Amino acid sequence: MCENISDLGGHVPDFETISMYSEKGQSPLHRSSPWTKIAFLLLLVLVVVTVQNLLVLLIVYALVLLAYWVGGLPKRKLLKWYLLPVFFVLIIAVVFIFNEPGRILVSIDFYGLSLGLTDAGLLLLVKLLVKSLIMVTFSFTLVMTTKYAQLVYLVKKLLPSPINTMFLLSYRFSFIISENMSNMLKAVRSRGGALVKGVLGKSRLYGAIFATSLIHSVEKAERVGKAMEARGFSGELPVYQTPPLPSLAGVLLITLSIVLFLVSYLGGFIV
Amino acid sequence: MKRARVCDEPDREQPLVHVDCISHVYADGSIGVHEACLKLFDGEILAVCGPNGSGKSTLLQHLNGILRPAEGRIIIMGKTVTKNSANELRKIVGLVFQDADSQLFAPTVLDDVMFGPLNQGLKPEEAKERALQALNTVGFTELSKAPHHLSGGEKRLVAIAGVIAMKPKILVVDEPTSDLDPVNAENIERLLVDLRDKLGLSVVISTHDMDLAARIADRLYVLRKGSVIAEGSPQEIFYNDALLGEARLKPPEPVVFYRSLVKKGILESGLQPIRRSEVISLLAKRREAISTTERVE
Repeated sequence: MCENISDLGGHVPDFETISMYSEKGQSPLHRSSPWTKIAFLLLLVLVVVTVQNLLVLLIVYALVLLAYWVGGLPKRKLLKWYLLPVFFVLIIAVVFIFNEPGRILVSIDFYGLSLGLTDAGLLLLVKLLVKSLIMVTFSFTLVMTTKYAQLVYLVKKLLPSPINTMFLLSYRFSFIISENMSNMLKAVRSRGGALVKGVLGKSRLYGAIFATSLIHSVEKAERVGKAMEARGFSGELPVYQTPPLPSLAGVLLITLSIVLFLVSYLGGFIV
Repeated sequence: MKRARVCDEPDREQPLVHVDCISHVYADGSIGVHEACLKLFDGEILAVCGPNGSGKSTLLQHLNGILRPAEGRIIIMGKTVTKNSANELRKIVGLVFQDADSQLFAPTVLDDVMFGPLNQGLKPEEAKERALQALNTVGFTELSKAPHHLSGGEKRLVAIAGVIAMKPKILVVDEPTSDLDPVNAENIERLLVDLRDKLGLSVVISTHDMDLAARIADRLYVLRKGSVIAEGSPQEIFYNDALLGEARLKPPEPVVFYRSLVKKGILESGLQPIRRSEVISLLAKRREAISTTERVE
């Protein structure tokens, strides 16, 4: 499969690639029931909320990476896509990791204010990172191995109306917004936009691109909405593909995982 | 040729669509169309002509109920369109937008073409069958391709398929060949004529391409600043220089060519050919007449 290079930069999830893998992928995960994948997603939410043991988290992360690999999904792109969640985790973690009780590794004195990075603080940072990467990786696995038509079915079953329709339209319109921003970036670069120097200049330029893209996207979304209305759309997206029910192997796997999680949790092995 | 107020004219037959003096004012107060009247009869190709900003798209969007007139009424197959009947109207009138990108939003071509039939309440298998038929009609076979990866011409074909899959009686196409290269434009042009001839659709197009209108339209409406300023046959419109000047339109190339031949004394005036083939046929007849005369002499 060829890989499209996003014009927004490699770190921004490339919707065209996501769409291409979800619609054309042929891996065992593509063939498996989306219900099984949703069940695993919910189980993983429970895991990252409750589990504090780093070793267990690393094992879960390894299993999630294995699922991603089985799905035949792009590995290098995933590494680039990690940049944004890692960035956000680091920003949030800065508030928590300093002055955690534990052995001080690094200490900074700043006008009488002492900030100490302890081993416990560092461990907390690593756990937060692993937890976020588990969820990010599995979310990509779910979205990139499930056809849009099946996603429509799942969302319509799981979320109430009109939230489900709003969610699905936002999902599709995000492709339009991304395409719009890509086109605008190309146009800006073609007129020497890449030559703009300095943080302030670049900020101004990208701020203007973002604002204009947003306005264009709203206008385009209105036109798309009109065109949908012209083809009989009345606020409810039609469901046209019923996803397969979980296979016996899928049911056994998810049951076994839930039992393992409950036993470990109640036995106090993973907390 | 009739100058405006065509709604008052007696009908030769029951029109499929009767736009009865509608006006549309946009939210910012600008006038989209003003007292526009239009009639479409069964099996004809109607061209709504006018320069950019003359209100063609606004008028066409009324035919599908996307826009509702502030004044006037729209009668489709004898029934006046109301707010509640807009959904029914969409089963009869299919609208293809000028910008195909606005219409194509699903992840694959097949999904997108199935969207309309599914909205009509068809079962997924029936919708798929309809979509495959429509794609076959327009000659497009790459079902699993992402619509935004298609070329401009392919996008236009898929957009038309997305509408004809709904099996409308009337097909409205906004600027069908704008932004297309000559080969793709010719494909779309041939398709529109085929849809009329083979599927029995009545077709309305908007265009500022007078050559296209000359080649395929049976009747024309001319718009200027949101108002219909004339209605008539291609001959009546394209041989009226004052009207074309008023509407800021240029006559089609065969008309210009014929006039140059008349000026040079090669052809006699008053014949009013519209299509290139008609001019060539006149030239052939003229050549034949000359050679016959020479032989007699």
